[in-house]
Amino acid sequence: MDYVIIGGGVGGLYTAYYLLKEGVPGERLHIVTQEWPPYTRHRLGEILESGSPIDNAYLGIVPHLKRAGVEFIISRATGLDPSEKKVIIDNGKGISYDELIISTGASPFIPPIKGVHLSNVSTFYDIKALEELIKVKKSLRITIIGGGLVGLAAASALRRRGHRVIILERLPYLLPTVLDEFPARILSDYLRGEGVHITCGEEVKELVGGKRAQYVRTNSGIRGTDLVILATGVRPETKWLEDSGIELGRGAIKIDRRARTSLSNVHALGDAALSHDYITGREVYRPLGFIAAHYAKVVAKDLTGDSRASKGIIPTLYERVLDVHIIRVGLSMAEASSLGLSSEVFCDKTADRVECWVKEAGGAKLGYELITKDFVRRNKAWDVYTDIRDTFA
Amino acid sequence: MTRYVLDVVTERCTGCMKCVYACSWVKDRVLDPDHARIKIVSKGGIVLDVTLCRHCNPAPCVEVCEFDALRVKEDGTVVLDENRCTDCKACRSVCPFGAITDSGGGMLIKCDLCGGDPECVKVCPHNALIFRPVVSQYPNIGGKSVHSVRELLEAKER
Repeated sequence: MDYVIIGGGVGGLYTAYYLLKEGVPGERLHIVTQEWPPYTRHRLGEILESGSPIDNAYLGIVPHLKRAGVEFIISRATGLDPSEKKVIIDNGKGISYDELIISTGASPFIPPIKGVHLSNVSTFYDIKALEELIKVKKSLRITIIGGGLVGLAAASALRRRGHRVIILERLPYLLPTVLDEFPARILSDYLRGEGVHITCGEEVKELVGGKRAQYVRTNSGIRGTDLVILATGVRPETKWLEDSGIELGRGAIKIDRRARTSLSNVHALGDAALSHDYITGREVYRPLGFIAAHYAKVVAKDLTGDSRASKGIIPTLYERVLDVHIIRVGLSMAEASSLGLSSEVFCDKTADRVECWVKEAGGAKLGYELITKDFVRRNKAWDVYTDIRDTFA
Repeated sequence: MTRYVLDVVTERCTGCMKCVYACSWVKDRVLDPDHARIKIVSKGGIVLDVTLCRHCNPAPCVEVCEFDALRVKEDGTVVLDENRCTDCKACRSVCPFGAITDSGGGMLIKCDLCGGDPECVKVCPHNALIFRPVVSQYPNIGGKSVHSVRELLEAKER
């Protein structure tokens, strides 16, 4: 029995890790990966910020997998023929599988605006982007388009490196997929206090310049810039599956509670796939590393005879941006509403901290948000997590 | 197997930082508070708080780690395997004590009780850190046995 894993990100690697743990011999595992050595994106911002070695990003389980005899094929999957049980890779060669696990991740979304291909416009998604930004020594005016998790990680690092950073967020507040408006506005205030320029509710229309972008034109004005970073979200990497007949939803692979896809002998997980929300049971697209790892375990168990269904994900997010800590557990009011739950958010604010509880109309706790400049001790995230876990079990 | 617990008597702490530097030295061979698994933080003015892992069992961080990077050892110590950690920080979001931190560059760190011989306890000149065998399975705070993270937090708030 040969297991072929497409994708060398955390989803793919941890699927191999958990399959080994379930007793599958390493020689039966084959990982097709585009990037070598595999790394974690979570550390890119922190490496840029602290100037620590790029090696920190490389994933520590890779030597373990190699020792166990797992085969790594440095290539890219270009097609899938489920009737022949074959994956086509870059050189046109076919790789046969008994069981296939798709974990091709996501790629940065490039907004359809003029000027995004100019030479000083980049994303902040891979080691290459990190290396380019490390090289920039003098202080520049850097425009970050998008105030999500990636945009803020870049902003934190670049501000610490002495650049003049401006974040342009199209929606009315920062981290719109993570936070509700009130805590997000407090976050903006804190970050402005640390010298980051933030403009929300402004849409970028064009990047203006000859070879390099010199100005950013928005719906309300024009600003000079030396460098532009696109942090406008990601899209699942599923184009290569177009002719395979696999069922997609919003561009991502649809999976059931055991991470099985619509094709037999094919599982999928991670940023290429949808996942399930714990509270509502609904399908969601949440490109987050720990969700990939959750389903990696589910896949490994399903393939080795323990077909217990996943109960879905209670999001548990932590980020630090400059000296501000951000925690979110469960749902924000905004996400709850997108999942069909009506809720209210109750906030408690002190000088250097705002703490919010999201509650359903019936009173059940759905989520918790914390923004603090103080140390994060004595937060109530775990209380809310256990309430959600037990209430919606 | 005897389990041990590290108690902090915050009122005795003078903020001398010996534990902090000793910790960063034995763990990472640097003298840098960012590398210490024990933190002394100001609660405003001169009131200090000492933060370190309480080795909860069951532990919130262990429950949410999807990477198999955190586990409770047989002796009750909650340990982090840095090779398996991908810095997703889910553990940081649920730790009620802020006991999981990073040493820069996204490398998460936490106290492992030095494998049963904590350096911070040895260097504390004021007996503010006490490493003792657990008589009851649960920590005892103010004469009351504490059975969950929530009760521990409540006990500490008093």
